[in-house]
Amino acid sequence: MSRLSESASNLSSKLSFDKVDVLASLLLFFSLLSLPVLTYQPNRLTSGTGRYLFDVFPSSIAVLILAVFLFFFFLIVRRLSVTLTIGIIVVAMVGLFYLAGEGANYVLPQDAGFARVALGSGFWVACLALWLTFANNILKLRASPLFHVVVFIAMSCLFGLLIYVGLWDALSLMKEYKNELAFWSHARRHLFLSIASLVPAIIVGIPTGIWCSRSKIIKAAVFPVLNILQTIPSIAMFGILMIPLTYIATNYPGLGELGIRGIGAAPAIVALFFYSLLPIVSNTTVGLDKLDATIVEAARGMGMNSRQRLFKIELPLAAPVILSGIRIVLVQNIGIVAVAGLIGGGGFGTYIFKGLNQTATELVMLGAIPTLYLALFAAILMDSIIGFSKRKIDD
Amino acid sequence: MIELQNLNKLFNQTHAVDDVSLLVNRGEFCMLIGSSGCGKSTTLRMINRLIEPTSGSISINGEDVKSVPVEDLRRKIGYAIQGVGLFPHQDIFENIATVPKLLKWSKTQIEQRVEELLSLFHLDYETFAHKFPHQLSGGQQQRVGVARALAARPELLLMDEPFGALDAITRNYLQDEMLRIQKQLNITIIMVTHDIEEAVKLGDKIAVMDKGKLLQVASPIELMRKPRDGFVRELVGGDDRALNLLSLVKVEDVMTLIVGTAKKPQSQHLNDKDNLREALSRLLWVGESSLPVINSEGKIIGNVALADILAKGKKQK
Repeated sequence: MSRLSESASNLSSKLSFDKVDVLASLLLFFSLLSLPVLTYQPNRLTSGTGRYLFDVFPSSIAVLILAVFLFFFFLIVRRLSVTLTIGIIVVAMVGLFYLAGEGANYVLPQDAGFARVALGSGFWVACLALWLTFANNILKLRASPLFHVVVFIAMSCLFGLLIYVGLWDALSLMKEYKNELAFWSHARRHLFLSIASLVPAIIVGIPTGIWCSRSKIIKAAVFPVLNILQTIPSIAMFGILMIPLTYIATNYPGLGELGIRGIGAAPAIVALFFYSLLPIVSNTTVGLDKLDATIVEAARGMGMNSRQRLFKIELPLAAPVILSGIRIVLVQNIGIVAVAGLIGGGGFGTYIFKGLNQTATELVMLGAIPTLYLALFAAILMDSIIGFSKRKIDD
Repeated sequence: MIELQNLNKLFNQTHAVDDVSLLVNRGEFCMLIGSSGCGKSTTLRMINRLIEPTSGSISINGEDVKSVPVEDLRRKIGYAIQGVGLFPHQDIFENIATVPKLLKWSKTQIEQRVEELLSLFHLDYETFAHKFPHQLSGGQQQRVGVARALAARPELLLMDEPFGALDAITRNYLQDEMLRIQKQLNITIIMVTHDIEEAVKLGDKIAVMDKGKLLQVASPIELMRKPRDGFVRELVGGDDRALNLLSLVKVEDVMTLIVGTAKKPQSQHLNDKDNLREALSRLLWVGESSLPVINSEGKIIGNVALADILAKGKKQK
């Protein structure tokens, strides 16, 4: 009887799969089988036609590729040790990257002329599937928050290196990149705009939040204003800001020379500053308001003055909530900075709008992918910092 | 010596504290008792000026509490509350060191004091000093809370229902601890409670409050025997009154001495430091009408009979 139940439980543990891994692996396999992995464009401005795995490679190679990925599927699903599974997923990711770059060489005719090959939906869905199962297995390690940042940087270096050595040179995306000489200066500009608006928002937002938590009247006055600011669409906000900033620039030429103009970085930073205020102010206020009253009472009863209470007790305890406000703002800003491309603010948005105007999809991608990447990195970095600030407080 | 004179506190026209005058002598354990909302906590919190009185005055050793800066005043008065209020982001050492740090004690002084306090509360320094509050049990947290309140050697300790949220066994243990520590340090304690049993057990002096008014201030025995009519009588006049009275008398005070015997104790016996309530309970449990009493060395020194106990619990005319 006991042996029977033992073997039954053995069987069930062998048959129990991680649902996320199974789903992601299935998604990976079927995206490669049934979605176009690449698109062929006669020139960079046309929309192009999808190329399935069997169109890209000769049948024998295509079958081999599918067989290899089917093998990955079984390895991932088999519940090997977590580190081994992660290793397999990374190999699958590198394989997929290689496949896309090498496939482009197969699709492009010898005398390519203006013809381009772009990444297709099959590739993107497969990427997403692998990322899902990767993240799922990384979380299983239950490592420190810092580890997630290290993993993200290591992965960035790995795939950055693959692209750097020319694995993707045949792809349209890299051809657009080679045409755009200012890519890295736009990257710096994008980062600068995101952070330059965040720092003053923190400097203004946290004290305002503290003030709001101390006085109901201030809170009642500040929050409606911030709420309204938050609802103004970003393009409208840039438009509204052009008027006063142009006025300042024309009347005070000195300031104009410093870069304060109706278009460019100035309205972008000012607008982002406004958008950043609400999450920071409201999270600071909520973080302080929700503190355990007995803790604050104890601090008061022991003779801490209000400054000592604020810096030694209240702010450290509210830090996770305040930091999540900053996380929201940083990720949000990286997204909105893209819109600043429209008013000459620079950043990756420049490529998005340029690409939209030319109907050059891959140029749009050249702006969109790094923006997404930056936002993801910011989110992981901030989560790690929040994790650290929570460590001692949580039980 | 703490003196409250004609203390009043109005909250939106309601009299939370109504003309309260109270004198607590140095080294006294004074219990403020009453039902919730009677103004006992408000009275307590006016002493360290967490609440400012509408009128009246408070003086400590003849000095008006308003004559010193409020933070300086609070640093000289220990304060322990029901929710404990330990700082969750600081370890036990840092929590206890709060007031000494505010008073800018030297590092070695602080370390010495924390060690001293942890051992006073039977908490091992190596085990507990660098744990965080959430790693401790409720009783341990409350002990750290009281240790923190005593850190800067205050002469006065204010406690607001400190044991209210604990289970009966832990509460009982901590009450004994408080009695021991109060005697050992010879400090003045004012404690708020709603539990008459706790008040009788701990207090040298019990002040009964109802609807903001101070109704009676008396020693536990006096309060039991001569409660004022109305609320006080209701408070002490429950079925437990006789038992509460018994808990005030020690076995050694009523036992019949046995001189010159060094007999080994039988399996059933009483201890000389037990109170009569415990003695009665033991007699009932083992079904005896009398039991021998042993001292701390384990020698039989006397005998207590049921009749001795009954005489003490009886109503006096």
